[in-house]
Amino acid sequence: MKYFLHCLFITFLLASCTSEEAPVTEKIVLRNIQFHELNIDTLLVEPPARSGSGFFRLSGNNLYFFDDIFLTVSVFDTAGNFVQRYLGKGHRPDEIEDFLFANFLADSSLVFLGKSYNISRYDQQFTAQYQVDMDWNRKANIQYGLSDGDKTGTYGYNYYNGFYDNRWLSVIHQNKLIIPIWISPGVNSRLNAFRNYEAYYERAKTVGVVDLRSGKVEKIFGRRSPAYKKYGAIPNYDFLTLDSRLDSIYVSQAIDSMIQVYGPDYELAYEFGVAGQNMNTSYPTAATPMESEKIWIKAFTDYGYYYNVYCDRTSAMIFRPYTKDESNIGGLQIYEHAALIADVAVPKRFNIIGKIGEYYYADGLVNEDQLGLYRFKLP
Amino acid sequence: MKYVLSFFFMALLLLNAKLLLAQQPAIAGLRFDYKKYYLDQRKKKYTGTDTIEVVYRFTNSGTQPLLIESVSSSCSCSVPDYTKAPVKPNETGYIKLTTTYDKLSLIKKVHAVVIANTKEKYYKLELFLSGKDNVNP
Repeated sequence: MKYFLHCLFITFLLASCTSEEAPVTEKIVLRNIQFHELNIDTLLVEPPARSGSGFFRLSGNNLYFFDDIFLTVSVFDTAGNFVQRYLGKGHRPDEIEDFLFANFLADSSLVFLGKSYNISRYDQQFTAQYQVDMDWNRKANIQYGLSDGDKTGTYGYNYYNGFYDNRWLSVIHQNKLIIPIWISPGVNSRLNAFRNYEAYYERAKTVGVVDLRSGKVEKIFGRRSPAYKKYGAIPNYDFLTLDSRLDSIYVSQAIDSMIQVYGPDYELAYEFGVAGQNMNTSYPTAATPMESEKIWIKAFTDYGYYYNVYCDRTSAMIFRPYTKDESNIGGLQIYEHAALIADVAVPKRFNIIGKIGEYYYADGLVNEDQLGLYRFKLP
Repeated sequence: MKYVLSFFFMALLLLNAKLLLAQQPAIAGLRFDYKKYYLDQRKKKYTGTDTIEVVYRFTNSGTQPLLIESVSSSCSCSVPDYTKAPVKPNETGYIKLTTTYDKLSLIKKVHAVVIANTKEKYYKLELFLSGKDNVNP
């Protein structure tokens, strides 16, 4: 009997050690709908030159358009008047070599990520401070495999390059950039969203913490939603967006109605959320990168997924836009704390970037014909 | 007296107009014949590593000499060339993008960013692997 109990105890211990089950966290599904529509204004702007590609950001009382082809930043007031233009391609301190992502930090200085994810910092006057490469601690002579889900070297920046722009950058603890991460088949041929995708969904981390000064990826954490397993191999939707407020990190995964909230210790604290309305979730599967490439336009234009999350620093509001299907109408969910207070129709590409006075501003109208933002007040 | 006042008023108007003109900064202007070019395979069938050269002509529409400061391509698959010397007002120059068919067919389009000494300063020129309905200006 003693021998039997001993075996049972060891078996229990082994089972505990090898379990891949996600820890149980509190899940809040709460509706407290307060309004059903928004009155949205459009604010068109006209910089001296525009390429038709880029994104808007907001700082202080001004609106900024980051043109990622001309590498310029055009400033506008809230009436849409052009104020000034900064940067441009070049090597001088008032220029920039390239950028793909950008955002203002709390002190109105800037952080940029280049096409190779190198970090560039600029001060409030758009003068270069320093540039540093992101350091993933990747070993060139190592073949990363199935058991390497905990190694930073097997990861890279998870940029889905979709249609509605998710190039938001967020910082926590003042100098730690938090970024979405994934495992490329080119770096790890055994553990990725194509091959062994179930193991990938279970083991691969979702968020990286990067020191802004050194560029070092210091920590990786986060779990993919269990919802991914339900859909099978859907590599086109293996992306997430994130934002931070105070010491919490909010993670919204493309196909999961729940928003994960991680605490300052990077542990999952709780999840909340309600599914968007009328979302086409019959996601197309793809077993190889080539198959994924063939369907990527349709995957991004014809199906329903969550493509951004924004936390208002001045209130308890959280905004999450999503697509529904191939129509031009998207949805915007507005949460107060963890409760959904509105789910309203908005144009596709409706990324909240901040608030000036009573107005929230959203990026936007960015194409060759028009350049502008949306704005609205909460009822 | 009425005639004198009228003359004085006209002179004042002319003087204002002259002053306004003098305040306009003399700058170069850059006007392209077209900024997008669609490769039209109905005229010539490209295959393999055939070289593709597209010339974008421009005119200096300003009042000062125009200088193309730089032209950079969006990918190493295309090589830009351009008029290096200053272009006088109302005269023309060119920007040429050279690539090969196999490279263009992989990425479907390339663009070049032109920087010039004009008010706009930045311009985008595009070269597309043509769809059948695409017609150049």
